[in-house]
Amino acid sequence: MIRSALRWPLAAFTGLFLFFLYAPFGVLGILSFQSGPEGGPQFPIIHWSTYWYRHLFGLTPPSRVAPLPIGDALVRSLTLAFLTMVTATVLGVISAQAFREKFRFSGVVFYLIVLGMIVPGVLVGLGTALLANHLGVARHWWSTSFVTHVVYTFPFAFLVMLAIFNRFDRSVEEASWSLGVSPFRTFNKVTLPLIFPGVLSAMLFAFTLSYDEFPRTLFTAGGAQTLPLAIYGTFSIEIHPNIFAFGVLTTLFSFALLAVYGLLMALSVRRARRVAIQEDVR
Amino acid sequence: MTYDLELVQLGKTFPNGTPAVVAFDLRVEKGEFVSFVGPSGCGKTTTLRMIAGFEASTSGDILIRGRNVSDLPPERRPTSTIFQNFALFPHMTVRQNIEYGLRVRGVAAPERKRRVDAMIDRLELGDVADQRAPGLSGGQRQRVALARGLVVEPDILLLDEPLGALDANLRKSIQHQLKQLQRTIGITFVFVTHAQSEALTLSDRVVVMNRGRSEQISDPYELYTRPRSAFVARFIGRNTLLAGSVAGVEDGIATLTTAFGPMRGATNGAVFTSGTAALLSIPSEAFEITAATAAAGPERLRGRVLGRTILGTAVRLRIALPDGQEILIETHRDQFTGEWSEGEVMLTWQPPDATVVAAD
Repeated sequence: MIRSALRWPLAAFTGLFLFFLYAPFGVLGILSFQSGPEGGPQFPIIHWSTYWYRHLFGLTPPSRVAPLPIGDALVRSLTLAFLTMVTATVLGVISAQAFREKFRFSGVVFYLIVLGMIVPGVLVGLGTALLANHLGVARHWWSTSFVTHVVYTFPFAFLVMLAIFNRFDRSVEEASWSLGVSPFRTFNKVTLPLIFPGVLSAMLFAFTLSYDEFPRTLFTAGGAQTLPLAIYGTFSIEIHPNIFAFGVLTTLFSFALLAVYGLLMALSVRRARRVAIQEDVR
Repeated sequence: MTYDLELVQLGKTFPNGTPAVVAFDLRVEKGEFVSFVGPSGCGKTTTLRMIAGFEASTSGDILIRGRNVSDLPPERRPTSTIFQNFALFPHMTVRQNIEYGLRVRGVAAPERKRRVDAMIDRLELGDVADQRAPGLSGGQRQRVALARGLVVEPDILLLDEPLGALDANLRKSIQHQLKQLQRTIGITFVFVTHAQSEALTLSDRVVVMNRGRSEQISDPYELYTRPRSAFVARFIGRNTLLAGSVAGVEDGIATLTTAFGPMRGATNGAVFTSGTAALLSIPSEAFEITAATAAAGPERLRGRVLGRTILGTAVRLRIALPDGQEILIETHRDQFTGEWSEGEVMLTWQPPDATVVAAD
């Protein structure tokens, strides 16, 4: 009885959740197909057009709306996200490996790392900027911002890897050592292939978190801006639908990343499942 | 002479002060099959892991063929370990698993192939050589683990409850194969198990461990018939234990004063002074069952049959001793007579078949 009575409220709740999750994006998507170059964000659409997409790539005749100044920022953000991803994942794997054994103060260190995740980003950014000024270090997206991004994404990579190592059967490593293989080569030949799905997840986390990071970057990026900063910068003048078109494209890019991740995951999971099915048959 | 494995006063104390292994001395000759047996937490696996190098000892030395390996990491010790869960590399095929040790050591391809093929043949893994490890049955996995460990030609093979993960039927046939394999290859096996039957069946010598100490190191026959401590008498075989104190010893036969009167058993060379608390350990198969007509005496106990189970050629009787202790005795069906099938019986033994051990 209770179950059927709860069914509709829960369904409605789920529906609302999905609505609030995707509706803003939907609106953005619809608005991006407005005709141009005249007129701001209007709803509903009067005349559908791909004008703003063409505008984005400089394929429209010059008009009073300047092209979005984001080309360089996009390259910077992708570069930064990639560097952050590599660094944070490597650090995450290494430190999670360290935490497989208890060491002195390991509990304290663990909480210090994890607590870092909940420190407000603006404060971290501001603090880093002040520290850099104090030390006479110039602020750049590839220096101060890079450091804050690594510090920000590292705990996520660390926690993902910790969860992976938690379920990791250490006897396969011992088996390898006992066959005369050094710990270093054992890591490369046995451990790494087995934890690879986790490494992939850690990479995805680090990349996406860094790619759209705003508060920590705001004070630390110096003169040359990253993509989120550049987009925010355009808001302060006037909002044109080219922003929406860009939003759609960058979201599609993120989805593509997710698809690649999903594909790689599915490959390793399918391998595991094929193995499991064989086991059932026996 | 140099031994294949020598443990000299080997000990390990955990950082919290708990002793895991205490002053363990052992010498194993080349080609011996030695088992460590004992209840869980007795230190048998810790000892094995110290020999393999997975855990550090805190005192004493480990010598392999005369060389002190105590401070070497596992990859530099001439041992291979077989794990209870076999620990095969799930991302490799059977052949790759077996090949792994040789490949990483840089053994040239032709020789590698020759050795791997020989091992695949020997352990009858040809049919599954190209399958991935997780798809194999328990028995196959165990053979892959053995092949992988043996192909690198270790001085000593260490086996950590390698039959524990297999079902009972498989275990029996694999025990036999394992023993055959060890005989033909001729290398030293150190085998850890909590199952005394496995240890007794497979081993040349058995080490019984309890609370980090080795209680007795004997061949299986000696261990079974001549326990040297109360723990071993309880742990190995099916012995009836009667508590008492030593009244006197004559010609290697001690007389104990017990609740049922004086009782006699062999001392097997152990020295007892009068009045020492001791236990008389009588193996269940040493009892001869007769009708309760004779009087009780120093090698006789009165009992009461509570129930019986027919086990094919044997009959198992459940018998209560006068102190309420219940014992199980298996006797040949021919000996089984209706006369004492229910009610009072007399249990008789030959004093040399029973053993007196110090009480614990």
